[in-house]
Amino acid sequence: MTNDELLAGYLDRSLSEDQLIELEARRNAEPAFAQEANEMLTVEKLLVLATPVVTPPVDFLSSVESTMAAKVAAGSSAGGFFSGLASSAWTWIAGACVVVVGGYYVATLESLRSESAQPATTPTIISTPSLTTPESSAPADEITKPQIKSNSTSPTPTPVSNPTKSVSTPDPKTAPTSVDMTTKNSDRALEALVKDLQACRASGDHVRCSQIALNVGRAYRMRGSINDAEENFTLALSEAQIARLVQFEIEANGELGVTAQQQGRHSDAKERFSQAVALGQRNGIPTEKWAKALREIEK
Amino acid sequence: MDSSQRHAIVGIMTYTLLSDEELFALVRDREDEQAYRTLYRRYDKRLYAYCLRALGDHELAQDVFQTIAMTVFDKRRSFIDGSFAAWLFTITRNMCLKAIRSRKHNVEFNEEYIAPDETESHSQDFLLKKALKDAIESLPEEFKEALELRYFDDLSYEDIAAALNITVSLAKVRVFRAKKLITKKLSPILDELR
Repeated sequence: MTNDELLAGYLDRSLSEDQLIELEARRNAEPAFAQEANEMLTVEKLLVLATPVVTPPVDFLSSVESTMAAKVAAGSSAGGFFSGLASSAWTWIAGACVVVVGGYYVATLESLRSESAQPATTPTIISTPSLTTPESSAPADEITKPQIKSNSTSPTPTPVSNPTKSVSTPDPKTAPTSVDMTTKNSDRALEALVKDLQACRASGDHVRCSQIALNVGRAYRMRGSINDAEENFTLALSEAQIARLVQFEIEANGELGVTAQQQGRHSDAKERFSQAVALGQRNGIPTEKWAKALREIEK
Repeated sequence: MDSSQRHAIVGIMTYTLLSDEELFALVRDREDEQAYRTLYRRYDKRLYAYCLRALGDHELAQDVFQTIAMTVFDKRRSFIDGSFAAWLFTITRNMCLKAIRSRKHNVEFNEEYIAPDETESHSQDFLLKKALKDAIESLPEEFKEALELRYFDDLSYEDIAAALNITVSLAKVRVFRAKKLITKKLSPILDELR
């Protein structure tokens, strides 16, 4: 074995007993090799400790997890094949083509008929907005990508939005499936979040619970279920207090202020916003959003 | 703790004991949501750190991370056997390379992503860490990549080889040469500190 082979094996802790003896012998016989081995050992230790500590945006990672978990669960349902078809960009593009060709065919027939009836006619305009949008030419993976990115610098968890982004401009009359699908997915996402929250409460992870409860609260509020929203924001607040997570405490207070405001309880709202701002000031955390809400309510 | 809570905890614990490949088989074949979550939590932070290191900014890293999550799910049928970690990091690496190529935006690793460390106030440690960081940055790309996969992403040589599409022995050689080059660069400082 060469010196390098011995050293590599030594650093990877893969040397046999005989090889270790051989290494020791060479270290004693060759001072240059001994020095190299010592230096490489120091570098090895440094490398082990040098892993960059990245603060991951937990709210973002959690949102992706919930959205994807909902997608996994949706895949197991009976409608998996059809929902797969519906979420495929090519299906939408093919559908749009059928509409255009069909429309053109009808329009041509119509114009032939009207030509035979009256020679001077105005041109028929066929509206095809879905084909002119740039999204329709995007690759499938970009179209179906969940749009759940959140601000990495802010602890504000973003509610899970619809994981399937339809290609065409949603028109309730012409594309009811698209709307239904979105609602169904958002239902599933909320269900997944609630399930996640239950599992989290069972595990006693207060940081995660607080974060998920905030997401669930926001999702409920988006649906107009203010009481459910308030219940979850209250839970988020208590979990954040247990975990001593000031950022989530601020968010939960702010969100409770918003729900109170929505229910016409302005003094409650004012108090919540004030608490959020005060906590932010005490801990050097920016709370511009809640300060603005406070100013507005004070007006 | 009621029985449903206990049941949930026992379920989570059972999943935790499964290997990556077993969990992914459950996701692929049975669309098992809990298996997906368990697997996701094993890798989310490491993958995100990899994306951030490769791309240099949080926004882009989040974009690519989402694409990876989708791709892993969409391509689940294409993973038959082998190491899940290697397959995952192959996808991650390809996505990052694609993002770098398409945006022509190869930013060097930014120091602001490293959380402040108390020991850095000690000047010797700080100098050493700075020198180490510089030495890693100056490595040839293929050495640097192999070294980072080994030390920062905690991959085995087999997984590094699969992710980089090279042999295991070449993966070992690259990591060793990287360490040797770093040692050479750091040697004067180590001498001084001795």
